Amino acid sequence: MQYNKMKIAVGLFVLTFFVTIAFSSFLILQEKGTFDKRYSFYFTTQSANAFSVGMPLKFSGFDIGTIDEIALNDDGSVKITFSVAEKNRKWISEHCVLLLQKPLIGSPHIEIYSSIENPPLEEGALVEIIISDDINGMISKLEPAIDRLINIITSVDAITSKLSSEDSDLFATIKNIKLFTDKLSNGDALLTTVTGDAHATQSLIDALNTTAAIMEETHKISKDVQGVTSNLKQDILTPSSQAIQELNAIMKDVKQKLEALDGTVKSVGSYDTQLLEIKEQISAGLTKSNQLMDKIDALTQDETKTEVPLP
Amino acid sequence: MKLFSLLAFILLLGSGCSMQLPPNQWQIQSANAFESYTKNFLAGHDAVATGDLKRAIAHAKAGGDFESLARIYLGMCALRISVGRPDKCSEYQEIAEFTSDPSLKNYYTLLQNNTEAIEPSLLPRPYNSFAEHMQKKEYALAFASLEDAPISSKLIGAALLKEHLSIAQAENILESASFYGYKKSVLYWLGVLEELNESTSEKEAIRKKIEILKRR
Repeated sequence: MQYNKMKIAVGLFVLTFFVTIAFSSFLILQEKGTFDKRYSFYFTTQSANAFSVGMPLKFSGFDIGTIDEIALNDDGSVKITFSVAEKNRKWISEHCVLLLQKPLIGSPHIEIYSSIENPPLEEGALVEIIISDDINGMISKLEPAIDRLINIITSVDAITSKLSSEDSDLFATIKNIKLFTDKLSNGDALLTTVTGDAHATQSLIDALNTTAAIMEETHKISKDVQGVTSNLKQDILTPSSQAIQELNAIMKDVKQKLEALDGTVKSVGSYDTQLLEIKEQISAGLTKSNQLMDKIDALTQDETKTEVPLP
Repeated sequence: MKLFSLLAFILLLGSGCSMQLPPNQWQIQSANAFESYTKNFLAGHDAVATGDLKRAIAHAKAGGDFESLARIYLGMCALRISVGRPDKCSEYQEIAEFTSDPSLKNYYTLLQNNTEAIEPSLLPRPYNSFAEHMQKKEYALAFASLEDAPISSKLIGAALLKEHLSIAQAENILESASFYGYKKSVLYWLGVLEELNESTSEKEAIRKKIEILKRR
């Protein structure tokens, strides 16, 4: 008897459970508008590219409809059918226009432009669509970047003009290099520490001295060139061209030497950074090992002792 | 049953891993590190001992506890004295003004062998009767009082008594140090024995032993 009662109770429970699930599902689907009446419209286009079934139609940023069907007409055009729910039908009014938006980032969608004052469009009616010009759109998006690029080019031009002047930072730097090389050649202990070889140090000092001499020569020659080009006399054209060739060769030499110096300076800098990193790593490792030793001590010794014992 | 045991083990492991450390962990860590230092110093593991000492000091400093720091410095000084390195405990003296525990100053007085100024009752227990006998100049009794003391106290006390020890007493201490494997103390007491022995052959034999033991 009691068993029958239990069976009835279980049966009631299962029944109630399924009824509740079904009712909840119905409510959810109803809320989502699944059972709402939908109104279909269509538009035609030359290509189905960028369109897909399920693609949203937006009004003021809200999804109000979706593309239901894409079909190829006999004349080669494409008929695209979309539908909107009953509550959104008012946005598909007479003279409304669709605009295909293809953003550079994100999925494409159709934007609806309509006036609420116009009466709703009859179901199944044709709606006009405008396909936006991709290249123009892209250019309009790239305009800020192009503006920035132009600014950069202008700035680079200004910088090069400034560098070419006599009182520029470049000339100051060249003077500083001379000072630096003088100092290095007077005291070679630092360089020997870096190179680890007295011969290598001497070679570097010689190279630097040569560089400094070439710098001075370059400056003189550049002044010569300036004078020559301002006069442009026939009799000095040939010497000036020689001077320019010489200048070119010297500049190449200077470039090579500066590159070598740059490499040395960079490598010294990188050693410094690496040493600092290694030091930090060692310090972190030591701290960790100390923590580990504390734990080992705690395991092997009296955990409750809080006073340092006097031996 | 096996499953139950496994579950119990995992639970125990979990509870162990999640065990909260006491907030005064630094005190325990400092005490443990110093104890480790004591053993490693006497055993002659200098590199490890230095690390232990640094940890003990760092933990004491973490708590800003000058009493603990003073104990470490005094302990350090005592251990140096125990292996025959005279020490004025300068580290302790530097911070002595920030400590209020009279037993620390008393211990320092003992280490400086200023027996007249010692208050025996304020010393750590192993030294109570030792200090009393020292004040009475009863050196044999003072040495005997160290019999049951912890090995480190025994070595310190014996070092303070060095001038008054017989060869047998020095050998006794040497045996104790040897039993614990405290190489530094063994070497020191061998040196003391070399001084105490008058026989040239004995001296030579001890010197040879020291030389062999010092070799790596």
